[in-house]
Amino acid sequence: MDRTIWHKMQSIDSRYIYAALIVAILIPLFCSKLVYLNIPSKPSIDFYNTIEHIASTEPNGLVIVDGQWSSSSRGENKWQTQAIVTHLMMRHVHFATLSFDTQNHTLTNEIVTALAAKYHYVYGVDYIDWGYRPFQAFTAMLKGLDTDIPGTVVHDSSGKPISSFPIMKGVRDIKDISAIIEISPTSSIDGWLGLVQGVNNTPLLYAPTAISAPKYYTYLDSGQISGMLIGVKGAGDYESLIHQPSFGTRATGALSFVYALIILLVVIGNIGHLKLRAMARTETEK
Amino acid sequence: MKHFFQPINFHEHPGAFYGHIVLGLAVMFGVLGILQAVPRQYRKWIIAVFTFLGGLFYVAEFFLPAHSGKNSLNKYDDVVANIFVVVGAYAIGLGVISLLQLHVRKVVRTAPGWGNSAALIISFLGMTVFGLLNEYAPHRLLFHGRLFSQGIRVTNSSVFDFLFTGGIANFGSAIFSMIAFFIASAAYRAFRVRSLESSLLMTAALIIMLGSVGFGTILTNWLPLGNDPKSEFWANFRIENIAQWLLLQVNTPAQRGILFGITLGELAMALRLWLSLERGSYFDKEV
Repeated sequence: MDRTIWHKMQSIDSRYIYAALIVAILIPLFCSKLVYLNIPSKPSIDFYNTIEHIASTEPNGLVIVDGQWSSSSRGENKWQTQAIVTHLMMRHVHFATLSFDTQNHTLTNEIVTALAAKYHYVYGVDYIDWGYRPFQAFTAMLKGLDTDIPGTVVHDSSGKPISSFPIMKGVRDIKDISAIIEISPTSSIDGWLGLVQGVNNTPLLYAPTAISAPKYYTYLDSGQISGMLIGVKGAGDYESLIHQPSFGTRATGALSFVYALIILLVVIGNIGHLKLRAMARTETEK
Repeated sequence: MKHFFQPINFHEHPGAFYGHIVLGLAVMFGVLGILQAVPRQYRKWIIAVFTFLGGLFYVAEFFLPAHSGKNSLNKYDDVVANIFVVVGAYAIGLGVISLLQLHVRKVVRTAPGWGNSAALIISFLGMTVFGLLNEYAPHRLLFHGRLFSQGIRVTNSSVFDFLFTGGIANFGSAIFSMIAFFIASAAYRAFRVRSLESSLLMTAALIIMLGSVGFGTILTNWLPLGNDPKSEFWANFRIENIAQWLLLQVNTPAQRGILFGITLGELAMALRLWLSLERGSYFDKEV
C-alpha cells in the first residue's frame, strides 16, 4: 500500500522534528526584543510572598539556601537560584548557602559572588557559605540543624568557625531560621520535610526541575511546602515578580514556542491517525 | 574517638591529615585481611552483624524518647554519619579500581570502542590530578609566556577551572538538554487517540502544557482574571486555572496513593536489608 499524506503525518522524520525544535528554542533566546505574556503561577507567587513576608517581619532572620543541583540541570536550577538570591539581596534578607552536591558548591558560589558585588552584600555579615557536605552526611546534618546549628555546621567553607561571623549571632537551632529554600532536581526535599520542616513549622520553599514538580503538589496542598518555583518557567515567573528579567524570562518564551510546536505535532499526528482509522473502517464496511 | 572521623583541614593540620590517611589505609587492609582469613561460612555473618548494628543505631536513635529535642544517642549522630562517609569513600575507591580495570583491559586489547575507554581514562586521570593540585597547590605556575601575541599565565587552578567549568559543567548540561529532543519526538509519537485512557492522558498533558506557558495563557486571556467575586466563576475556565486544578485536585490524590505504595515498599525493603534477608543478585553469592 502506498504511503499517503495521512501516513506521513503520523511518522514525520525525527530529524525534521529536531530541526524545528532547535529553531523554536533559538528564536526566543536570541531575539531579546520579543515580548512574552507570562502570568506567574500561584506556587511561584506563594514563594515570592513568603520571602516578602520574611523581609518585612524578620529583618535579621536567616534563610538557608540548600543547593543540590549540578550542571546537568543547570538550564533550570541555575536561573531559579539566580532569581531567588537576587530577591533575597534586593530585600536584604540574610542567608546561608549549603551544598550536598560536589558541583553545586562551585556553581552556587559563582552566582552568589557575582550578585554580592552588585548588591554590596558582605560575607559573614549578610550571607555565609556553610560549604559542601557529602550526601552521606545529609540525614545527620539535617537532624543536627534541628537542635544545634553551630555544633553541626561548625566551619564555613574556608574552615573558619561559623560562630565567629556576625551573621550567626543568636542562631542556635531551627527556631532561629526564617525559611529553608531547597533548589534541587532530586527528591532531597523529602529529607527537609521529614526531619526539619515539622520541628518548628519552618516555611519550606522548593525549586525543583519541571519534571520532578508534580510529585510535590501533595506537600504544597498540605501546606508543608509554602511555595514552589517549577523549572525554568518558575525562574521566569520569579524574574517577572522581582522585575529583573533575565535568561529565565527568555527561556520561558522558548518553552512557550516549544510547547506550541509539540502540540502542533501531536495534532498533526492525530489527524493522520483518525483519518486512517476512518478509512480502514469504511474499507471494512465495503 | 568522637572527633576521629571528622574531616581534617589539610592546611591547618597537615601531619594529622597524612596520619589519618595512613591509619585509614592500614585499618582498611587490616579489615580486608581479617575477612579473607575468616572461614567462608562466617563472612556473611560478620557482614550481617555489622549491617544490623548500623541499622539498629538509627532505629534506636529515632525511636528513643527525646528530652529538650535530644536523646542519649543524638550526640553520636555525627560520628556514625562520618563513619558512613568513610565507608562510602572506600566503596568509591573499589568502584574506581573496578572501572579502570575494565577500561584499561579494553584499551590494551584494542577491543571495539577502545577509544571511548581511552577518553575515560585520560579524563579521569586529568580531573583527579588537577583536582588534587587545585586543592593543595592552586597557584603553582605551569606556563608563563605569550600565545597568539597574548600574555598567558597558566596555574593549577586555571587548568582545573578550564576542565571543570569549561568541560564537565558544559558536557553535563549538553547531555541533559538532549532529553528535550527525545521528549518532543516521543510525545509526537505516543500521544494518539487510540482509547479512552490514552485520550484522557493526552488531553491532560496538553492542558498542563498549555497552562504552563504564555502561549496557552493567550488562548483564554479574554476571560477575566477573577479578581472580583462577579468574574470569579468565569476565571475557572482560564487554561492556567484548569491546569492548576488538574495538578492539585487530580494529580495530588494519585500521587498520594503512589507515595503510600512506595513508602510501604521501602519499609519492607529496608527491613529485608537490615535483617540480611534479601536474596537475589549478589546476596546469594559466596563472599
